[in-house]
Amino acid sequence: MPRSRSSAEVTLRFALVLALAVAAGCNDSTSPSAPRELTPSLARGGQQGPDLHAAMAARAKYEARMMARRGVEGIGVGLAEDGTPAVVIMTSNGAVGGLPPTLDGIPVKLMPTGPFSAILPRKGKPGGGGGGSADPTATFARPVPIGVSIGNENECAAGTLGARVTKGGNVYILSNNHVLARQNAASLGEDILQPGRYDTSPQCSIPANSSIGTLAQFVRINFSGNNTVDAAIASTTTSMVGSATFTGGYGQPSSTTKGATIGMLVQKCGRTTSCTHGSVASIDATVRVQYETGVATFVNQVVVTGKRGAFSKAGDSGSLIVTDDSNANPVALLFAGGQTSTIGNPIGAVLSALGVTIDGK
Amino acid sequence: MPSITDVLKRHTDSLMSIPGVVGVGRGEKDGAPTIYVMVERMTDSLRRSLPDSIEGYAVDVTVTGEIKAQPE
Repeated sequence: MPRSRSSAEVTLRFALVLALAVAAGCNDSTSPSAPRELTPSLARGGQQGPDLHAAMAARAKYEARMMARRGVEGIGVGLAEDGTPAVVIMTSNGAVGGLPPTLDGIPVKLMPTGPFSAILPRKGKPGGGGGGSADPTATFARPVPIGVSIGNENECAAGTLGARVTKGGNVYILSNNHVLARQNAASLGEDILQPGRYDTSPQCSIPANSSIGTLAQFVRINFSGNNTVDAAIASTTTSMVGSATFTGGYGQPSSTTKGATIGMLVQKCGRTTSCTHGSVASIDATVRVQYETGVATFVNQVVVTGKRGAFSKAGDSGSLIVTDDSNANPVALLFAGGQTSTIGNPIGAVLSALGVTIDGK
Repeated sequence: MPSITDVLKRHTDSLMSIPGVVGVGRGEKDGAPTIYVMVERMTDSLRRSLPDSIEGYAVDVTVTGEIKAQPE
């Protein structure tokens, strides 16, 4: 796997630490106990502090050249020991030689950080405490319900079959790019298996007749710009994939979607935590998401927090998030999460990007 | 007062650039719109660098941990 560097992010973070340090410093000296209000002028900062712009310009000018060197993991702007602006070069170890002491007159500060890695969790079997009487990691009789384990034939992983969708009289499986299309790496036509190979026995094997479809289309994940969806579809048939969840789930989702609103009650059924309930904590969210191959920024996202415990865990990627009522209107496509929060792409954007509609009631 | 959407547009980039901030969105507390900020974990440096409010909207900070894609 390529190592994640995300130099742009590192670069930006360092520039801002300094800008904000300056802003906070100004504020503290005038009214240390007053609530801090971030105004556009303070956010820009820097006018009264050291001249950051020269350091930022040097960083920008030399970024590509420095990043191309072996052992250099990142480049940013920071402060030298004496408090003057410096170009900070992050290295995999302290012994990277041949780096210049200054760049266009700006001091260079070396910072051994080690390589930045992006490793996805590989946790154990389900046990998330969600509802639903079935084990979503099991092999299901065809047609398989939605909310169960699926994966691409070329990786030992597992995600969730989100929904059955239609386009022009054909039916497809809806899930994430990183579940069906191996984070941009897949070719169209690759087999989609149920369960995903992480859940087969022996683990990672490919049992006979495990294919339930083939990769048909995916939206590329952009690791250097903004994204709205992590989505893909696989061709299937109604004899391979059903349109409702397993027993204990919400059943068949509505074909009518609903935009997320703050406080909206939602639910999902997925491979790891089965069927869980939660509420929308934030909308229009910009979120930085860690993938195996890098960091990607997503905008206009829906943030959900669980009602009892986590709303999702690793393996729930691809789950359809629907309203927590008998209508089960689709709201978002689950793709990421932290310890306490789950992130979903707005379902309207997912469906329009792929030109599909939910095969629902 | 500017709309929450405009305020988010103006400040999302700078908030996202604060080390430890992993997400910024629109939230709501006690019926009032807020700036919802997700952080990997709460640190002294975040306490110092995150404002209490932005252009009149309260900043609501939630500890989420690192946000990761969720395949198994």
